[in-house]
Amino acid sequence: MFNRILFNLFQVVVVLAFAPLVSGVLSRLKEIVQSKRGPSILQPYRDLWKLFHKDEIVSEESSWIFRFTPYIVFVTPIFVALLIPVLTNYPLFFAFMGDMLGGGFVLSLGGFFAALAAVDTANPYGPMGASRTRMVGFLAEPVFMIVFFTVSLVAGSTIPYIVQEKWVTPLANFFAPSHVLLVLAFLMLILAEGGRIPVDNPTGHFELAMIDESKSLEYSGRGMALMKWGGHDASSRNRARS
Amino acid sequence: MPIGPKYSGVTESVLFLLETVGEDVIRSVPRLFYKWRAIEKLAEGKTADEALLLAERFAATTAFAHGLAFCRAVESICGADVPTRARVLRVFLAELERLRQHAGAIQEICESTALVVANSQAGILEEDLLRISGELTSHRYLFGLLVPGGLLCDLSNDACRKALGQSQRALKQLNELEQRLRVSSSFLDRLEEVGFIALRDANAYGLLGPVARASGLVRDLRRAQPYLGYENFDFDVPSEQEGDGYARLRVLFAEARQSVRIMEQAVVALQSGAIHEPIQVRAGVALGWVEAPRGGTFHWVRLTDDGRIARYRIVPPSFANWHGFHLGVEKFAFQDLPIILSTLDLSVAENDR
Repeated sequence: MFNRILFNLFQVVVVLAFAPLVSGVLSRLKEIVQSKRGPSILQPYRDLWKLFHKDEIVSEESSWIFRFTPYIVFVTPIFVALLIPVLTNYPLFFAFMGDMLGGGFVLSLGGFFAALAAVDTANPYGPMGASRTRMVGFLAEPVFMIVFFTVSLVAGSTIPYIVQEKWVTPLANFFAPSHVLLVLAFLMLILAEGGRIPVDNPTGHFELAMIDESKSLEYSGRGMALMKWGGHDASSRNRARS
Repeated sequence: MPIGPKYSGVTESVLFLLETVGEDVIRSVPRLFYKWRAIEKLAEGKTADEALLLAERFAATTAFAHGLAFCRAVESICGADVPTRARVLRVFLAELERLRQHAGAIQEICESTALVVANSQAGILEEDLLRISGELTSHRYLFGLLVPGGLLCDLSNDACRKALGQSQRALKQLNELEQRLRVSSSFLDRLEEVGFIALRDANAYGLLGPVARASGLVRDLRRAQPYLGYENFDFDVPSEQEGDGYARLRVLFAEARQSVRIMEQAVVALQSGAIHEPIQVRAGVALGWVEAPRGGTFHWVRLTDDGRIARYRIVPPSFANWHGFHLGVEKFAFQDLPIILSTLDLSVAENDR
């Protein structure tokens, strides 16, 4: 019992601590492909450190949603880390609280509030980014449903660790055609939901061409740090889900 | 939807007021002249040599072309006969600048379509060409070479040949980049049938340079009103009919090839001789014209008896092409705006002269 709680906490810490590293490694790889040297893989940590030590500016015109959202965006991936195993193949301590569907809902809560906060500011780019994100979401969600229910249907369960076990034992299951197709579909989903090229350009700076970035344009200081960290968490969780 | 006057990724200041329905741009109003420097007024009362500093510096990316247009105006007032060697060297440098500027424009197009690898490749090529210019003339943007009556310093034939060889290598890489871009379907999707400007509109708005030539409006001052002995060089004026972003990109690549072709002929045509003939200042009025990388450039100068500037007017190509900006942008989506902007290759600094 004690071990399980420990593992549970350990998993949360791992997700929190290593999510920025994943982003750092990815951006470094991207720079190398472009024949550049690129920033250190620790750069996301430095960015977070810097942002936490900066003043925060909050528009007087914005409501509580704007102030509240960074915490939700930061906390929801942690909740999911409590539900869905990354390191273990047995149920986590809180696993009874929700299955994969539950995890998806919790994650989309963060997305929902991020969209609300973007509309909450009077910034013209925020609502544009929010509506674009929702649009991508509408298009991506049916695919997600199909992927999700296919893996669950075969495994006869929506509990993550059972599904995971079913698909890797025996190992031949992993290379089943249906699974290969699902993995491909899931890769597409990650491109769409993670805001990667060709759906979105996370390194793009032009305000009009942004999808995800423009939602957090109004944030600064601690709020920005939490939004960023939560974003790192969510995107690395997305990757872990497959 | 307002964008600017300061927006990310661009070091110039321009405000766009876009009227939109959803994601579509219905009307666009660019507001320029945030950094108007009144170069024309500043130049009044100055000597031609002092005013040349202003002419070269108001838009650094096409410094040589603007300096050249100014020098040509002063030279034709004073009736100066520029030595042959200086004329050929001027052609060589002007084409080197065109090649470098087009590489820069291609880099911006790649950047706007988020094609990161091609963006870096084109950026490296632009930097290579800047270094070639720097090695040849001691200035990466070719400042301080021109003087009314010729060139300030002579460039040895060997140095020119070396620069030509390096430019040919850069062009080879540029050609390879074009071959790869032509088969990048995601890149072509963003450029084709985007930012369309019809021949009729291009004509009506008097568009200039590669933008006009991509719409089928073949105007090139090197052909129409040859200067510096361009009539002795053998080159084509590339043009396309479609008038979309991809046509403009193809024109840029084709013009880069023609520039190297002219440079090759210029190196062969180099004869030894003087590079500078002192001018005798006198009062008068003259127009100096040059086909700058972005299109036809006109500098109009009136000199007083003692050789000072009485009136000075500049018509840069970007000034004409900003008039056509709305043609390209309207009826297209928000996301296309940066792409259209980069394919039109508009300079704010040149316009805010």
